[in-house]
Amino acid sequence: MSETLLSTKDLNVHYGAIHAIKGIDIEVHKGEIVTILGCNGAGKSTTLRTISGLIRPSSGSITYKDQNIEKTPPHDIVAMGLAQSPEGRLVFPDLTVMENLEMGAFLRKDKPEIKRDLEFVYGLFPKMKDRSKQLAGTLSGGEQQMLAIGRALMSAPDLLLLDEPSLGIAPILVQAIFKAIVEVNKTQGKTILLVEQNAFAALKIADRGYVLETGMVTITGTGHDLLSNEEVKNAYLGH
Amino acid sequence: MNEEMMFMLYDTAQFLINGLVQGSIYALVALGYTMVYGIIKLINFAHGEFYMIGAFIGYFTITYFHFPLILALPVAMLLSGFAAVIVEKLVYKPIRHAGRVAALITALGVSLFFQYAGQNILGADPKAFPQAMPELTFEFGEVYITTTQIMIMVSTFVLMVLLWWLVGHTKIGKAMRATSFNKDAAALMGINTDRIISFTFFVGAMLAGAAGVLVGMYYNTVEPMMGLIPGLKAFVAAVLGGIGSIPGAVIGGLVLGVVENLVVGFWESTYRDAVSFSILIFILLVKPAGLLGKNIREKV
Ligand SMILES: Nc1ncnc2c1ncn2[C@@H]1O[C@H](COP(=O)(O)OP(=O)(O)OP(=O)(O)O)[C@@H](O)[C@H]1O
Ligand SMILES: [Mg+2]
Repeated sequence: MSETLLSTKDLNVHYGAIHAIKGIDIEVHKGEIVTILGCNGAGKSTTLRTISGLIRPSSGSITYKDQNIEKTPPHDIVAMGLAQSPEGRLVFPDLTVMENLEMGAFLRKDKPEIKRDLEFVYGLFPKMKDRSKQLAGTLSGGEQQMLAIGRALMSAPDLLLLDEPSLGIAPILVQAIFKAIVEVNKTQGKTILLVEQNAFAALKIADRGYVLETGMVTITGTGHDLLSNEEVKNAYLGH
Repeated sequence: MNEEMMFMLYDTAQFLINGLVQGSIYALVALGYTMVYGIIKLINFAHGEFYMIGAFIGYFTITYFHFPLILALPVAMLLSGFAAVIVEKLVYKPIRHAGRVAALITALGVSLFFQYAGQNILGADPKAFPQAMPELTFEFGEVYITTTQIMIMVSTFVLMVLLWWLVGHTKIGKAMRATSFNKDAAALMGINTDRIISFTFFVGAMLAGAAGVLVGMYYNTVEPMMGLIPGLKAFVAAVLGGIGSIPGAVIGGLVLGVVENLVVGFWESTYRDAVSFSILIFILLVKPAGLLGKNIREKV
């Protein structure tokens, strides 16, 4: 088995009295695409937000590149090469597409490499190049999603967290986005942790998956196994 | 044109000039209100105190250290800015998640602290602000404008251009806008949002500090309570322009200054403050988003 990049051990998260995450163990290995599936309110976003340092766990540990990061502030986590494209995209509406991408590279000083990564993002999503001077707030939902992913890539991450990139997007764009995710993984060697409700599309590209129910991991396996798992089929694949 | 109309015109022009000068001061202070509100949704009722602090630093550096104005002004701005950063770190940051009512009450407390500490340390009596530059008066018909008035308008204009450049065209300015849109999204870019919030307080208080020095020159007096009423007026200006909007604060400040001076000139000086606060109530009732504010409901 390849090297572990990220792992959580007995992770618990509370929102006041609400126990949102109840002892989760997740592992992501270098080079993998791992997906987390689950219904609304299962705790998927909470898990990603906790990994990125936006929420503090009430107990448990998060290890990234062999360092404990559960107390590390979010901007330092980004500096360690862990980026996230958040739920709802949250592109900066009154900055241009280009400025949004520059914000993604906020911590970087390596100008030539930033330029190269910008070209990579433009190659991945040619629409972003056409729209580079347009305000991000005027993009369509699908375009904003591309921008959010591109922006996260601009920090040159080793691990990319994606929170529901297909949410509320036309099917044709969903395809393009999943294709881009695979390309980022295959050609750039970036590790990906993908949260999705579109279980079929996610499992097709994932090496492994976790199913989350009310804050607990209930099923885990390879993407292939989960696709043919009866419980997953009934609950998430709509068969 | 008959003589009466001529004088009416002169009067109006004079009130407009006085109004734009007063409005420049309001605008400088309103900018800090609006920037801080934009980034942490706090109505910083202590903001007027940084104007008072700036005025006193101007007073001390010019009176006792004989600083020229060109040096006293930036020094006052920097020290006001640092005072705001200290207040932010010591007082506002620890209560950032305690809710907006708690923050509002805390801000009022900070304001009272500075007013009474000022009276205790510096004395409650007004101090004469030294003459920082030669005072000349230019005359156009029956309309007068002084070098101090010109200085106030020019300084305000320069500071606003600098602010426009900072917020619109620098990396830290873009980080400020990103942070005020959504702190989490900004943090995911690697932006240290705590630092950006402190920086916003710093810039806002620098502008207020500058306004304090300019006002000291204008009215030739400084005293520890001087931040109270202009602070409230600047708040009215920020709401008038649309709180959270930088151009709104500028326009709100200028409009308020002009309206006040027209009221004082053509009507009754005792109505000045009443009119300002009526404007506040009117705006809050009729168009809470202000002149330039976006009409979006607030996120919770
Ligand atoms: N800020 C918050 N305050 C209180 N409770 C919250 C907060 N955010 C999430 N929760 C609760 O935590 C649980 C997990 O929410 P989370 O957003 O992680 O779910 P999710 O799996 O991402 O759902 P979705 O698919 O709808 O995005 C839910 O019960 C939710 O109501
Ligand atoms: Mg979610």
